[in-house]
Amino acid sequence: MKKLLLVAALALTACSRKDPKPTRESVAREEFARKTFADIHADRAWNVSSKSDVQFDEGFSGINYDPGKQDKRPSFYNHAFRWMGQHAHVRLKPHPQKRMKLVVGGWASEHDMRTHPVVQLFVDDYFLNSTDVLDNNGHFYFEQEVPAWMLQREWVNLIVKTNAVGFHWVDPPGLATLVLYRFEWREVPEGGEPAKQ
Amino acid sequence: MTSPATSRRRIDPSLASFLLVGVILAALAWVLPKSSRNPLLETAVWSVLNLVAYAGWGSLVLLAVGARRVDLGLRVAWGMGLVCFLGGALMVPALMTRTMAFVVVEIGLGLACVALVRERAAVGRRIRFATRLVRRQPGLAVASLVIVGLVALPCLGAIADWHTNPYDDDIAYLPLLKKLADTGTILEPFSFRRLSAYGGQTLFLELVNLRAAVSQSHAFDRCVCFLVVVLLVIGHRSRGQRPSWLVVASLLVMLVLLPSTTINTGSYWSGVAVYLGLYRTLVWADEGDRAAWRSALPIALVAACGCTLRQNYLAVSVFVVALSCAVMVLRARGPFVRRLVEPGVIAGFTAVALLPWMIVSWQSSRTFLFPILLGTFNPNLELKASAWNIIREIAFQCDVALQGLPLKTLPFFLLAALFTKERPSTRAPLLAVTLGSIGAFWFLVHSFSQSDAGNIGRYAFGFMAPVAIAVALSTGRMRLARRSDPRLVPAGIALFAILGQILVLSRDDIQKDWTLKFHNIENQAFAASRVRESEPPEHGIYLRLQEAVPAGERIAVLVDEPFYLDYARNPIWNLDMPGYASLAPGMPFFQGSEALEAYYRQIGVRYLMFVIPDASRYHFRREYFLELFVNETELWRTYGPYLVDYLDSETALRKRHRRVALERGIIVIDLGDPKPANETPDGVPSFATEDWSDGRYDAGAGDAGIGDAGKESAQ
Repeated sequence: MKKLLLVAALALTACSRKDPKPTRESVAREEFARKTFADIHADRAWNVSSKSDVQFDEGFSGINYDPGKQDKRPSFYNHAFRWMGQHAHVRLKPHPQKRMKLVVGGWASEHDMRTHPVVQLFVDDYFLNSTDVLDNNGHFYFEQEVPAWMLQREWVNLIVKTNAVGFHWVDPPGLATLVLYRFEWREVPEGGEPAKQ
Repeated sequence: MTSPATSRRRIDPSLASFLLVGVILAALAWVLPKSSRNPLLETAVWSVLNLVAYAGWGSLVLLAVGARRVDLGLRVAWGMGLVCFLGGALMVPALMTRTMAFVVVEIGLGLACVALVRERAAVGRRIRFATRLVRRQPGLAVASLVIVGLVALPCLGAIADWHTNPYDDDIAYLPLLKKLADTGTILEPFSFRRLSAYGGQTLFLELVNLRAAVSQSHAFDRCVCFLVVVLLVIGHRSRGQRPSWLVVASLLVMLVLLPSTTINTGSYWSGVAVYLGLYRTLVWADEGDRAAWRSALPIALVAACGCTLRQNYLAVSVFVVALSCAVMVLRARGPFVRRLVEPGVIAGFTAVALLPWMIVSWQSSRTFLFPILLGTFNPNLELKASAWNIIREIAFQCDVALQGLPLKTLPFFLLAALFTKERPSTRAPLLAVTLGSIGAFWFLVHSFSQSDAGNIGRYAFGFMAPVAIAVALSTGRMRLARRSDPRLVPAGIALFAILGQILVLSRDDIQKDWTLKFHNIENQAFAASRVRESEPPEHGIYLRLQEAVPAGERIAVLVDEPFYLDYARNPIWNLDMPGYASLAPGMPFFQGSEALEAYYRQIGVRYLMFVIPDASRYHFRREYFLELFVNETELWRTYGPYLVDYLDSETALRKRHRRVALERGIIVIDLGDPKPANETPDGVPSFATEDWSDGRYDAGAGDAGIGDAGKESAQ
């Protein structure tokens, strides 16, 4: 029995591993994908997609697209978004030795919620930021540098919490109350961000 | 006057054997000549003849190891092992062509006839036993007949199923099959599917497809191999004791009704057949005292055969055989060194049986042990998910086990295995198969975490289903003689798992699945025989395009149906899914079309045949792969950019080089010549970029088209 437990423990230890270092080709691959989507004006889909340093997890729907005006079919050329739950989880990979900035933009359907919610960000359960009580249009936006001390692990967990979303578990609204339409996880340029005009 | 009983006794028992030999020869005489036959019947008869041929080769193994009584199922499994070894050995010098495939089947049939004659007394006994059973227990005979009918239906359904998978079959598996038949080997350094299996499945497909259309390629896995599984279940006995009829019958019904996971012509039921065969071989080896090599030979043949079907089966064979050997070493008596003899012989035989496949793999993909040695695989493409940790690993393992496998009651079978006490044995077959398969399952899920539960479940079906069957067969030997027998507990659990799967879990899929089966069978039953005129038009298109390239010149192809090409006329490299595999120094990506052109020149490719992305029938649609850039599955997100980059580079190459041929959106270009100034445009309609609403069916358009005059004349 002890031997079996030892084998099981060894097997489980083998399950945790670090990501391999990015190669020149893997970096070029992601840059190619980003540029291709930018060229066809589908940046918004790229922004809310998982990638090498961002992984959307529990609490988010898959990517959805607004119906287009011309061809009336959902397409990744159209506006992309994800439905979001009350407790939505994103994995973020800090870039080594770099200051990192997080941009999160979304919208809450106050009509469905019948209230004005507050959206909060937590990194590994450390409080990062919060909106005020949302105003009538329901949009929220964060643009925030994440302190380096929060980014000590290879991957960290970002939780987007929205209070005042309270549905009974037998009557879920199909996630269709909160929307994420912008998400950026990028390095802060040396010397800081250029001033906005 | 003689009584009827006396006259029955006077019938020569060897008559049955000679009758069976006559049937085999008659079937062969019917199916071999090139003449018009019903496609369903032709492929069904040929599939059964394949099965008989494996039994024939198996009889040769039987003769070699000096065993006396081995049932038909086990014989077929051994025969598949031997054919697999021979096929691999013939591929090394590129001799496993279509003609050779005929020879292999025919020799197997000859061996089967010889075995039938040699064992005529035993065959006569079995026929007499069956006759007695029908007389004494007609109810049981009728129930058995119903089960035979139930087994026959999915087999015919598989032969009649015309669906091939455009992701896997059309662009990779079927071209591999065609290449093997045309050239006698499968050298495809650019093919990820070639890397992902030594090629055993392709070899077996070749043998069945000698009398089957390309679209009938499910005949091997879902018909021949399913029948092998059925024979292995029926023939199981351990130390002379058979499982109860109720368990065998329930098990067969469960297997017949199991929701299908076979989305392509890859290995599913062939894995089940081989690994159930391995379990049965270990049980057989456990009985009787024989020289180490006699037990080792069939074990090695079957284990090595499993390794060739899918690369992830390597772990199954290794784990199962290693565990069995470990138990044997620990439990055997005598000097420790002597105990190591049989494991050593098994390892040696297995290595020999695998050696030809390793050599062919090296010839093709510069590796003899993928994925441990990557060979032509692109090291920049990871198959393991990023941001992995223990919790995600456990969650994913559970997800695949519970959602990915079609056998939803598998946990109950494992529970039954936990309570099952095997009879005193030296090899512990059930323990080895169960633990070995669980280990291989863990290894598979861990190594391919970028994928999803459904897909990994497909890869695991071939070795996890045999665990359930082995547990049911092992526990099914219990009898209700003593009510308090604790051995009844696992038997009860296993029976509960079987019935649960049949009555509850498979129900939803039965109607849709079986309606389609009957529909396909009906279509094929009344279909005209295969003639040149009924071949798909693509066949001619591809041949015309290929003829535009001088014979003997190398071509690299990226088209939707490369299985229509003639691989004997030109050396052809099928690019399959560009990015996963390529010859050294590695196909350049994200560096522009000039780098790709330089690479092709470096490796000696002058002609490229590719489908223009906007005209791709299915697989090489640029828009489709573009959308995969933001797919939720990491595997596709990672791969998508490679194909789009490759398609863009090919389009750029087209703009610089001479068009050799063009037909229905498939183009051949010559990298040796620049594009002439006066070349006409390709003129391929862009289905992908046009407004889709224009392509809608307009019910009124037909009327408008014929005009008033036309309407009047019609009236």
